[in-house]
Amino acid sequence: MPSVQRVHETFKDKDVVVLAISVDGGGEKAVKSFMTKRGYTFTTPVDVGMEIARKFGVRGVPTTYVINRQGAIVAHGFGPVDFDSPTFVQYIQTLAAEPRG
Amino acid sequence: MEYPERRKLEDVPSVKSDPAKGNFSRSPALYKTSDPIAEIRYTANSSQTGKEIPMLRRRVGQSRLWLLLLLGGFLTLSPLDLHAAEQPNPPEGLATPSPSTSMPVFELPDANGETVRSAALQGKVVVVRFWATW
Repeated sequence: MPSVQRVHETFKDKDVVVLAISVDGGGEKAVKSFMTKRGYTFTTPVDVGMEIARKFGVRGVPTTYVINRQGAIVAHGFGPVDFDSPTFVQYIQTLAAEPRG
Repeated sequence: MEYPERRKLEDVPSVKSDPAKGNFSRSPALYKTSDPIAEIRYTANSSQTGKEIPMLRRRVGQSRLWLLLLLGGFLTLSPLDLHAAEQPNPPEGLATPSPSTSMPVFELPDANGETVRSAALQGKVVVVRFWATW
């Protein structure tokens, strides 16, 4: 999660939204204490019933999705993804540089 | 580049310019100019170095050929480039879904009690990570 926080900070003013959707059974309370303890400020929607996770096609956590300005899922993957890697940051920059769809 | 006529003229500074007779010679000082355009212009106009004109024409022809080749290259490459700009390759660990899908519509409460709606994300790049504290 530290890399999620960093990507959130890098792009927060650039039309890039980072959402860490929690599928925690503990709901908002568990997520809030986790976030406060670590000082994270990115948005954490809570999907207790995993209804939205199913809509996305999630089969396990962590799973990452990248959506472009046109609203299309352009990248997805199950497993850890290093949001700090230069290639990931560059990828997001390229998508953010596209005109709004 | 060597111009044999140039050296010859430099050795004979007494040659006078007489356009009426088709002699466009200039003073030797002009031949020494460092400006290649002036030299080319001179060679093209000079009656004494009339042989240079076909060479100049050949050069223009060559540059036209290059222009055509360049243009052709751009035309062939541009669709590929546009495609690459539309869809950059995802970084390691991620793949582009096939067939392509849109982000599902959703509405979820966040940890701070605010509602997050997918509709509010229109036109933005969204990075979604599904996770759990456990």
